[in-house]
Amino acid sequence: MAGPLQQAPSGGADAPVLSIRNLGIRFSGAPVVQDLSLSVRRGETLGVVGESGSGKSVTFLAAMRLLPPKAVVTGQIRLGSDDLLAMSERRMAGIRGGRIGLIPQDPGAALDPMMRVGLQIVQSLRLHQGLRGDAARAEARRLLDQVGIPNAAARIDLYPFEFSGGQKQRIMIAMALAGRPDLLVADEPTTALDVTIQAQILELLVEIQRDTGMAMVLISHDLGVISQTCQRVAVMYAGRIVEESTTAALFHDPAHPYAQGLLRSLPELSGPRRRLAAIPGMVPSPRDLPPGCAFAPRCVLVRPACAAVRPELGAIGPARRVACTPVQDARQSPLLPANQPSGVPA
Amino acid sequence: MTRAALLAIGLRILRALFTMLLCVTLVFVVLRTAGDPAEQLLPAETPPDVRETYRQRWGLDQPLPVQYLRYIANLAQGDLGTSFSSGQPVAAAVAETLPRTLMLGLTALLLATVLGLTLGIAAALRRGTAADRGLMAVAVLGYSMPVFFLGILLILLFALTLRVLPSSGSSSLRHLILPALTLALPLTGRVARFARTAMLEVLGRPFIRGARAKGVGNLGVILRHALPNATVPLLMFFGIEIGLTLSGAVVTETIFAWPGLGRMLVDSVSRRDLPVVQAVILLVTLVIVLSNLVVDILHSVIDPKVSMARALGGGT
Ligand SMILES: Nc1ncnc2c1ncn2[C@@H]1O[C@H](COP(=O)(O)OP(=O)(O)OP(=O)(O)O)[C@@H](O)[C@H]1O
Ligand SMILES: [Mg+2]
Repeated sequence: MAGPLQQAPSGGADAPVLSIRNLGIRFSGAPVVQDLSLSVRRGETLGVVGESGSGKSVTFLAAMRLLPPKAVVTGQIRLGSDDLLAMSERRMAGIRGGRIGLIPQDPGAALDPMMRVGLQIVQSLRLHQGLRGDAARAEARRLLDQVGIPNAAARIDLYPFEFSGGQKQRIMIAMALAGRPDLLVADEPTTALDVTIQAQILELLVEIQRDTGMAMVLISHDLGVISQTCQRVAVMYAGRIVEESTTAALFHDPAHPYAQGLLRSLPELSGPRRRLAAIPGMVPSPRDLPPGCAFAPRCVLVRPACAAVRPELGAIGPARRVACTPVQDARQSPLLPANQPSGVPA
Repeated sequence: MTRAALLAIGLRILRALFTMLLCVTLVFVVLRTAGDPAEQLLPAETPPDVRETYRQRWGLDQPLPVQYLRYIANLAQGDLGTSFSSGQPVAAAVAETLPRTLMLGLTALLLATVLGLTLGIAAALRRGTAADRGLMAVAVLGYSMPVFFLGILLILLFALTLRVLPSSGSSSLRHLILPALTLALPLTGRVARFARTAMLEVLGRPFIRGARAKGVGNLGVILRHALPNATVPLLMFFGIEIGLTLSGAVVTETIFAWPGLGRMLVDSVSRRDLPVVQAVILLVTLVIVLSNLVVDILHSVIDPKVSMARALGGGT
């Protein structure tokens, strides 16, 4: 796991691969992500959970500068020592698919339907590895083999529609790996798959991460998936991180009332997986967020002050932050400095 | 190509032949039931026995089914008949005029395709800007203007006011410019609009973001991913437009006295010269059916899903 960082001369071996500070994203005025800070280190997997629309995908699309032009992005996003939001579009294109790989939500739709899958992988290899011709083809075949496409040599020239959903997912993984990324963002890589395939794909990702030492962000609705793969978890609600913690601590003792609700809605380990929807009430739309805590209307711990004053994300333990005034009051240790992002070295 | 693919193409050709036969029959019936050509073509004071001689010579004295069978039998041997008014074989007259119409039509088609695609794609890439709105306003203006009006406008401007281009005739390439423009401009507008819509539709699909996420640059995204995916709808669009362009050619040729099929059709209809009318319509149908056949075959070559269905023995 330990090894010299390829770039980031300014940081040590422990410097984050990706660090996001005070990220804000607005779509025509509506804030869909606010004041979001997080970081991911080499070899680490960060889980991002939250209800649909909480801003998980847009956060990492913003990091790749793939949001439509109408999105207004503020704050700072660094990859190693490079400022992603400030760099030229040309350099950014070189980073996409290279140092940052993305397995997009709905990978089936992310493949070009008119292009043979082998060529789509070769495209990445050409752009980021400088491979051409037979060498590129051989490497594409090796990648397809690696992600477990049966009979890769014969199927390399087929079109995306000739593969199953799970296979398309594997092809997307192969494509994301083609650039040998420092950071792999997997946006719900297993949602559409049945449980067996889901487990296989996750295992594959973890295995590849072990081999390459890349940092990984795993976005998911599924706490079961998160618990199996991630060391740390960020829980998002209405465009903000409401709790950030190690996976063990979160599952053992969730602090934020929303995280508690999520865990309570988790089905039995043996039971069928389902989407998180067991907390009564609805997520507020980004257009009419309440002035105070966005979770207050659904919260069991709610106090009158919650609706008026928005809680800051504050430390309640080592490597643990939570944005909830009642919880902070109850748990905050006076010995720990508040407001220090646990993942980001100050 | 597999046997199944060949079979599918064969079926398509058969279907095209059937369409032709249907059109030819329909035209034949309509023309025969719309009045006696001998009445219209011969002077009013022609004595009845002379009139009868002509009827016999033109075969109009026979019962309709006999006329029809004789017509089809001749057609099958490539004989388009003899013109009532000139007494010359129709095939020769048509062979002389068809290339002129093709020249006019293809020039216009080429011009409109190159110009329309460029403008439409440019507009799509600048969606919502003043340039986009301006381009589309001009495009709508282009195709909502009646062809004869546009033709007269161009004549007024270039032939009468500026005196730089001839307004009628076909003796030189310069004569081609105004009629080709008249035919091409509305088509350019339609192509631009359609290309813009098709591009925007493709650019909004998730695989475009997928390509960008791989690091493909803007130009690469357009050329390697967006355009190939827009070709199928564009091809379908052209399949329809080719027919419309031909019908536009009839009006254009009349305005500019361009001696092509369109003008031949108008002349022969007004003279009730049935063999000529039939031959021209037959050719127009042939051009449309052929272009649709080509579009169909190209589609199956371009679209991996369709050619796959073919190879599996489908043939939609
Ligand atoms: N292109 C866009 N235009 C306008 N609003 C957008 C756009 N993309 C995302 N949003 C809004 O941003 C918010 C966050 O969206 P995002 O896709 O990040 O949610 P998510 O957490 O990934 O949800 P899911 O779990 O359903 O994928 C949503 O309210 C969504 O409506
Ligand atoms: Mg999402």
